Amino acid sequence: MDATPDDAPHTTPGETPGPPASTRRDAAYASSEAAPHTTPQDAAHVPPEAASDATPQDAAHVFSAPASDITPEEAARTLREIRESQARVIRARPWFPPWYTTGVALFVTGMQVLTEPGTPGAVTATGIVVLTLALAGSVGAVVLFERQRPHRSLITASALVSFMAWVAVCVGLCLAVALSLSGAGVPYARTYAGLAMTAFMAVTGPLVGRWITRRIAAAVEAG
Amino acid sequence: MAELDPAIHAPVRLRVMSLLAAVEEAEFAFVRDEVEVSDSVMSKHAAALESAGYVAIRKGHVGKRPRTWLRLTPEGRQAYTSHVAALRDIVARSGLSLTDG
Repeated sequence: MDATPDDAPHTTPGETPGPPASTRRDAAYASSEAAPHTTPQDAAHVPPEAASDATPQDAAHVFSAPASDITPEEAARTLREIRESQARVIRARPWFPPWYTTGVALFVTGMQVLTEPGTPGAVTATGIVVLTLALAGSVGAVVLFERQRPHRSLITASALVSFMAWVAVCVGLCLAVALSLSGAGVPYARTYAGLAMTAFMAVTGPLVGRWITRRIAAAVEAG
Repeated sequence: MAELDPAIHAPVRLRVMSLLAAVEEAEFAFVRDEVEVSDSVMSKHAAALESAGYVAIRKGHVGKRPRTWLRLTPEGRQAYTSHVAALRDIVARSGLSLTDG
């Protein structure tokens, strides 16, 4: 692998940082010539074939026990550590980025504005194109740049149901506001309803995202 | 019965595999920090797992900065699942409870 010095250290909040940044930077990523920079702590994890890079005191930590020699206690401890580390990684970021759901709500609101009676056709057509491109860009950003989200195999049914319930509440709020304003004869009722939904989603989205993430992490931790 | 996979039995490799199993994809630096190893050690393990066909490495940029992402391949996910199943078997045969740790 090629060196990527800009794979800069970044520890998520509340997590234990790794080795000193200087140690990491001077060890060119993935290059065999970087081995001499390995610190004692690092070499504790060096696989057998790379053990020559480790210092004498590191050798004790190099895993050498055959897989068949693992004891039940070690296996249980390993499984517990796996669950804990997975839960920690999942908690590091919300299941969905809050800006995304807010963006979708803004798209809906924009559509309401553009389709209000009296809006010039050219404005409506242009606006729909712009909004659609913006939504497509948001979807693309999530797909391409928000990859560090819980793997789909870990998404529990209860997490999905919770998310759908929240979406249903948002849509229900929008409908309720639209119908009540429309019934009262307020112009642009759908637009105001869309704005209310957007505000609601912007406020509650981060909370819901974190809550669902915690539930997924708890399920993983429980095994 | 599932068997332990020697390619991922080493503690750091198993930690890397378990982290990657939890996410769709993870940045190299994030995994390195989580596993608490240096660039060079992380690179060696990543390269070994890539050679085994268990991890796919993708390079790209965020702005002008180069970034490297890791993810489990389907084979890697299968190997990880089998390895964990083998660990569970060992625990289950002993009568230990996983909740006891």
